[in-house]
Parts: sequence; C-alpha cells; structure tokens
Amino acid sequence: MTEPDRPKLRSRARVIRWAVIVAAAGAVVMAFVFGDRFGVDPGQVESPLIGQPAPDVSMRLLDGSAEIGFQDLRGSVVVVNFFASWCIPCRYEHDDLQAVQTEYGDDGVVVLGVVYQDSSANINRMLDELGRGYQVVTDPESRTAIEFGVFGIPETFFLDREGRIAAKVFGEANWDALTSIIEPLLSGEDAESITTGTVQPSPGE
Amino acid sequence: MSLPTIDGTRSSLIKRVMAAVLTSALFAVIVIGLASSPPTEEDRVADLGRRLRCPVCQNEAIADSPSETARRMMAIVGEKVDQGESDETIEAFFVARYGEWILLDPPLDRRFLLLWSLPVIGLVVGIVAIARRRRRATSEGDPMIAADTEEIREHAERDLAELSVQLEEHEITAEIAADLTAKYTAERERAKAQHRPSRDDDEKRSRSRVLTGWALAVLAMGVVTVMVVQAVEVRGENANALIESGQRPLSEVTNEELDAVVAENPDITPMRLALADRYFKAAEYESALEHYLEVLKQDPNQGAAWARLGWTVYQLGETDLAFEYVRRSLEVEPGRPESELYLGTIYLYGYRDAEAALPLLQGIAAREDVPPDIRASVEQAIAVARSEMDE
Repeated sequence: MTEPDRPKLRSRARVIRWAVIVAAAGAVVMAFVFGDRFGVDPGQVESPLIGQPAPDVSMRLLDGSAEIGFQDLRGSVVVVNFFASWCIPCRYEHDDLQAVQTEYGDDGVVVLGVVYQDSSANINRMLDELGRGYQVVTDPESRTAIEFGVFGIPETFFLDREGRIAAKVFGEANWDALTSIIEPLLSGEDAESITTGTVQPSPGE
Repeated sequence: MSLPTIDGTRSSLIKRVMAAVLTSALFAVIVIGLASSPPTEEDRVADLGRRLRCPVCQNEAIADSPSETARRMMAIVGEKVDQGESDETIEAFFVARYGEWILLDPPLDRRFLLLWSLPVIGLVVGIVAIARRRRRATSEGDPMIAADTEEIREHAERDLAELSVQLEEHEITAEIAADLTAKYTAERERAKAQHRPSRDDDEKRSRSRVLTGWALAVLAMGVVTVMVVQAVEVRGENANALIESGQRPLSEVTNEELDAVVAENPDITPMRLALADRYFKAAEYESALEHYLEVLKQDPNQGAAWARLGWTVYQLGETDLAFEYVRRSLEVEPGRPESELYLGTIYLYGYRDAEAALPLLQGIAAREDVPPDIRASVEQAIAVARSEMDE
C-alpha cells in the first residue's frame, strides 16, 4: 500500500504550491489595480452636481449689508469660489479671480467668494492685504459648502446663465483655468471641469 | 431502581413546561418589542451619522469626526430627521452633492454581484471537490470491495468450469446443469459489472479533470481581474482630464522652455535667477554668465547671484574678477557659506595661497548652518590646503 501513496502526496504538495502561486499572482494583480488608483482624490471625480440647478441658499455679504442668493444672480455666469485665509493656494488664486471680475464683469460674469470655515476678522485682514476685487459672502454653518459638496478648498464652481452648476475647478484656480470655463459659458456652450491640484480640507492639513 | 411516583412525574413535567412557556413568552415579548418599536430620532441621527463619510477626513464617519464639516453635516442630518424625512431621502441628499462616495457602505451594484458572490461560489466548489475526493478515496481505499468482486468472479468461473466437467462425466443432469450455468453466469456478470475500471482509465480521467480545473481557474482569474479593474475604475471614470494649466512641475520644464519664458518676461528676476542657476549647475557657464549679469543689473542685492557669477567667471579663467565678485557677494550677504567656500577655493587654487584659504575654510567647517554638499566640498578643500602647506 505504500507504493501508490507516494505519488498522491506529491500531487497534493503540487496543488498547494500552485494554489500559493495563484494566490500570490492574484494579490499582485489586486495590488497593482488598487495601487494605481490610490491617491486619487475623491473630489477629482466629477461632481454629481454638474448640470443641477444651483442650491437655494441665502448668504450674507461679508460686510453684513445684505443677503444674496444664487437666484438673484440668474442671467450672469457666476464664479463661486470657496476660500479661507488659512488656505495658501487661495491666496495665490486671489489675483486671478480679481482679474476675472475686472475683465469679464461687463460681459456678465460675477465672482462670488464664499468664506469656508473662517472668521470674518481673518477674511477682512486677508482682503485688506490682497484686495477686494469681488463680492464675498459668509457661510457660518457651512450650508453653502455642503450644498456644493465641497471636499476642501480651493474649489471653484461655475454657474451658467440659467443658474445651473456647469463646471468646477478642483484645486488652485488660475487665469487660464478660469477663462477656459468662463468663455464657453458666456457663449452658452458646455464647459469642461478641471483639476489643477489638491485641496486643503481644514486649516491644519 | 425505584420508579418515580405518578404525582412526582407530573409535577416536574408541569414545572418544566411552565418554565419553557414563560421563557419563550419573554423571548417573544423582547423580539416583538425590538422589532416593532420605532427607533427614536436620536437613534436615527446617530445611525445616519455612522453611515455617512466625512468629506474632509480619512475614511471616518461624520458621527465620529470632530471636524467642523462633519459637525455641520450632523446638524443637517438632525434637522432633516426632525422634519420627518426618511433615511433614504437624507442619504440621497448627501449622495446628490458628494456622490456615492459619501456612503461608507455603498449600495450593491448589480454589475459586481458576481464579484461579491465569488467567495460563496469558491466555498461551494471547494466543498464539492473535497466531498468527491473523499468519496473516491473511500471507494478506492477500500480494497475489500475490489477483492470481493474479483473473488466472486473467479469463483463463478471456477464453478462454471467444474459444472462442465461434472456434466461431461454425467454426474449431474443437463437440466440442473443448465440451471446452475445460468446462476453462475449471472454471478460472474454481476461481479464483472461491479468491478472498477482499471487504473489507466482512472488516470486519464483525472488528468482531463485537472485540465478542466485549470482552465476554469484561469478563466475565473481573468473574470476577477476584469471586474476588479472595472469596480475600481467606476469612481474615476468621470474624473476630469487634468489639463496643463501652468501647473506642470518646474522640474519638468526644460532649460530651453524656461529660456523662452524668460525672454518673454525679461523683468521677472527670480525666474531669470532660476534659469541662470540651472545653467550654472549644468556647467554651461557662458549662458549662466549672461543671465547672472542681467539678474544683478535688475537687483544688485542678490548674494547668491554674485557668488555664482564669481564662480562662473573663475571657471572661465578670470580669477581676479571672480575674487571681486565673490567679495561683493559677501558684502551683500556676509557669512554666506557658499560664497565663503568659493572665496576659499579661489585662494587655494586660483592664487595658490593655502595659508589664506585654510582658516577661511576651517571657519566654514566649524559652523553648523552649512548645507551638506558645501560641507563636503569644504572638507575636501581643507585636506588639499593642509597637504599643500606640508609641502
């Protein structure tokens, strides 16, 4: 009985060895597939809001003088920029946002800065330094930010003349990115969203 | 053994039945109570909070995150629960804004049903395989069966042979012989039928089975790979194309490209300085010279530019001029380690003055704020200076 037993044992060892090889190969494939996608920021995915009407929210101007909603801005192409004084890329994009308001204001573009989790005092200090070239509203309960599904800042949304959310810039905006979206929207065409980099979720990060 | 009294048996039986009835009644009350009592509003808020992902955190539920966004989202959940919105509506509110990513436990996508059911399929296949193997092992491993059938067959053959001898010798009647022949033949045929096929057939069959198994395994691997790739890419399939909007890392920009940009924007000093430094590092001293001179014309307070301009002209063979430029650098930025290194090196090699070079170089080496590459060059120069002084 010992004779026929030996090949059987050997074949079992072979099966185990093959199983290990297959499992290892599977693990490598999975590692590659997931590793490739690792570090893809969830915010880089096109916002599900693209094509949806702008949220019905009322926001107070930074100086407290009035409340505005996106309905009031119907007919304009609105650049909604979420920012804070603790966000470094926000400082860099500030000049270009001001330039957009200056250059495209007459064409019907409104730049609207929405304060993201920051105090009015900090924002006033920042704007004293960098300029007040466009309107800024506060968002004390982050309601507007949540309505726009903001992951971190800077994130900039664009509303077309019909008041729909048409595109988004994820990360630091700049003149080229802003105008590449504004131009088609002004002429009633579709615009492509853009990712320029990462966003900062909170002051510490 | 004494028989229990009738009364005793009955009372213990009644007790047991009562206990069972009471226990199951209590159990039923608890189950029904749990199942039918509606969850309180706090329960619902907490539960929803555990199901929603905090958008500014690393894989954390909004109920568990101290971040401001998470707290605001919890507040919105609370409001919506207060207003009597259903769990589904509230989840849908956040999904509409953040995508399905916001759900910590995303709903089952029908496309990936196969992927999810793979472990179960694997388990079933495994159990079947083990069961079959075991059954085969027992039938194979039981030599009695094989031996028995073989024995019966041989026995029947022997009986048949004996029968014909007996018939020939007229020991039995033809009638009985016919009966017995039929009986033994039947036995022999039955034994033959029960006898297992030979090992050869067995091996052939198991080999084809192994091949089929492998083919299935390879196919399954392929399917899994494709599905995994799809599953993972679903999130990214709508991802925006990255456009190059001036965000390309500077390290990828070639010198020629940067040169063109500098030519278009001649007054941006830091950019020209960066370009000059690139040429400097690449030992393209003539190109570096031109840009350093322009940089210093625009901003004479650039200590680094003076120092590297000095080293550049030294490399081009102008020792005195080099010395002068490096001195200027140290005027603008006293104690700059790189400038001191150039000065020391110019003393050492340009003027062959190791005595002047050594204390300067040792001074740099003694400092703690010296970058490692400069320190390495300084130490090398010190060694050279020492050996020159020994000669």
